[in-house]
Amino acid sequence: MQQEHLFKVLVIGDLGVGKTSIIKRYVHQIFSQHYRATIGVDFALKVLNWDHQTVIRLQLWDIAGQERYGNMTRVYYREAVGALVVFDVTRASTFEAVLKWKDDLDTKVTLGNGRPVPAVLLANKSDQSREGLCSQLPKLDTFCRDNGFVGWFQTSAKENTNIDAAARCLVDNILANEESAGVDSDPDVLVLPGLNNNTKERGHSRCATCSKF
Amino acid sequence: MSSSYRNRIQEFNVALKEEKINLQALRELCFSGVPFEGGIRALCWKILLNYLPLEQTLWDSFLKKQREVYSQFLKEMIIQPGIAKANLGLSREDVTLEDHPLNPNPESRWNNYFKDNEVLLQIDKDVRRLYPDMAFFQRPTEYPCLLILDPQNEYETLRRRVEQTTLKAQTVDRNRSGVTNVSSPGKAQNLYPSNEYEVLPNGCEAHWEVVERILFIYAKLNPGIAYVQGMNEIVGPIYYTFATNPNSQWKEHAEADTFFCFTNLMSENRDNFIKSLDDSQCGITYKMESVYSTLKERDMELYLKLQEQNIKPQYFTFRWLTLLLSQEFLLPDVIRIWDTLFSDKDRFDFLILVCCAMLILIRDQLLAGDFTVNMRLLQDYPISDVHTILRKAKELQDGA
Repeated sequence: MQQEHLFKVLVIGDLGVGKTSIIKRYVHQIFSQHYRATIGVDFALKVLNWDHQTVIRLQLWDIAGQERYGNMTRVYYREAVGALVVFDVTRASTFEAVLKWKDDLDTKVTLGNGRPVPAVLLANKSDQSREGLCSQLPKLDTFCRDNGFVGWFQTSAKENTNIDAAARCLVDNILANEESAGVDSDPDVLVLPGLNNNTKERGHSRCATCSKF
Repeated sequence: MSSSYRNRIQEFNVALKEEKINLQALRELCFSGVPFEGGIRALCWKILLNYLPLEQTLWDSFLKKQREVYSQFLKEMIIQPGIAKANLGLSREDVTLEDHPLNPNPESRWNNYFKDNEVLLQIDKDVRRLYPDMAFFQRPTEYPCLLILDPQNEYETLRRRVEQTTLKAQTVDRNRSGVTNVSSPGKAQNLYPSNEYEVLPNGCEAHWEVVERILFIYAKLNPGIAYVQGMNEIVGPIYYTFATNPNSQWKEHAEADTFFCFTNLMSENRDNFIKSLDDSQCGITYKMESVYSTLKERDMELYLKLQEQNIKPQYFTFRWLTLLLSQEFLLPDVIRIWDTLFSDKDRFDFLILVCCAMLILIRDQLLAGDFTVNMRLLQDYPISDVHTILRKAKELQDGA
């Protein structure tokens, strides 16, 4: 019996920390120094063959980092089941903003059972890190425990370091939440038996066709 | 060049020779696209954006005055603070008991200086990645700002200021880890990884640096809005149009002219960029919703499909509307769309129709697609022929 999951995952953090680069690397296996600033939101899809029984479709929502876009985040966050919170190891201010982003996330979206959505912390641009912030990184274990992150990774979109691992960690946690919550209680994810009739959205488009006269 | 195109250029030339420009007639001409030849487009945009007065005889003196005003802005907002900063190392005359770099008073010049640096760094991040798929903005301008690059001037330029500010951030990092090794400012350039922060040699400046200066001056003069991401995408096409003007007399002043045209455009468009207005009648939310309400009138089936799939207008029209579509198409096509938008008297009502036209033109794909497919269509719009889109928008306007 094959299962297919559809998960909405947010990628958040201050402007210029590399959110778009991480997604482009993860989804398209490419890297460029020069992605245009994200305005509002960008959207990408990654399909994971998780194991023999499970296919996972990750909807990645790349959220604009500038404070001005704060009003929009409520609409963008709805029904998300996980988040990657990114900072830039070469700029301390982006780390200071991590808690602000986590807080924004927790106040605007929760799981069906009222618990916060799992969030993984990404210390990005590790290829450029100088001794400065790097020596602080071990302390992130405590930071994550204290602030409700399920884990952290030192990542580099440029060198393709740890991005798959970070996403895997997040998906593990999302799946664990699914199991503990029970399949029915979360309206965002349907696990249907069989190969062909799988995700919620396909179900939708079929309904639309049917109801068209 | 076809004879019909030659005739069209001729029509523009006639319209632009009038002693007093007939704005209504010019708008109608521009609506179907403005020729680039002879600098016609750059001139028309200056008129459509209410920069140039309609009386042709006033142009010379008006432009002279505006360009002087702009020089004055450069002096007050970039050069003088730069000199004050450079002198600090010599005389320290700016550091007094009343005002010093650690002064938390909001009136403090130092406090302002540091706040400006934050804005400058945000601008800097974005202008370096302006139209990354074309070389133009990375190339040196033929007309670097002499006032700024004057070798007699020993002061902190914006370029230097960005380097210094980035450097400071590093010094702090090191201190925090207990290492007191302070880097020398001379190494600033080496701090930037690979070619991310490549700059041209002294005496040259890239077009993106000119755009950076325009945005910085705008942010200083409009502190209530300052810099919002996306403004770079609005300045970009205007500056490109003026800086590639075949008429070199105008081209030389692309920076000042762009600044004023951008300011005028923003005066009509700025509410989109102001967070506190988001939910007001003039804010962006209302405009995004009017794309859907217009669609509902024109194509109910498609409207219902998007509703049913829970595709909110915020997911794509936010970028379409705030940036006037400048990220959705290649630059020449963006410029063609802007010919039409700028000629619209009810500025930007037509933009709503263009957005609707874009949706209706891909209705078959949208009606067949699931959420994911449709989000990708809307985020990466598949039609590149903007003439088809503009024609459809015009049809919608005419009620067809």
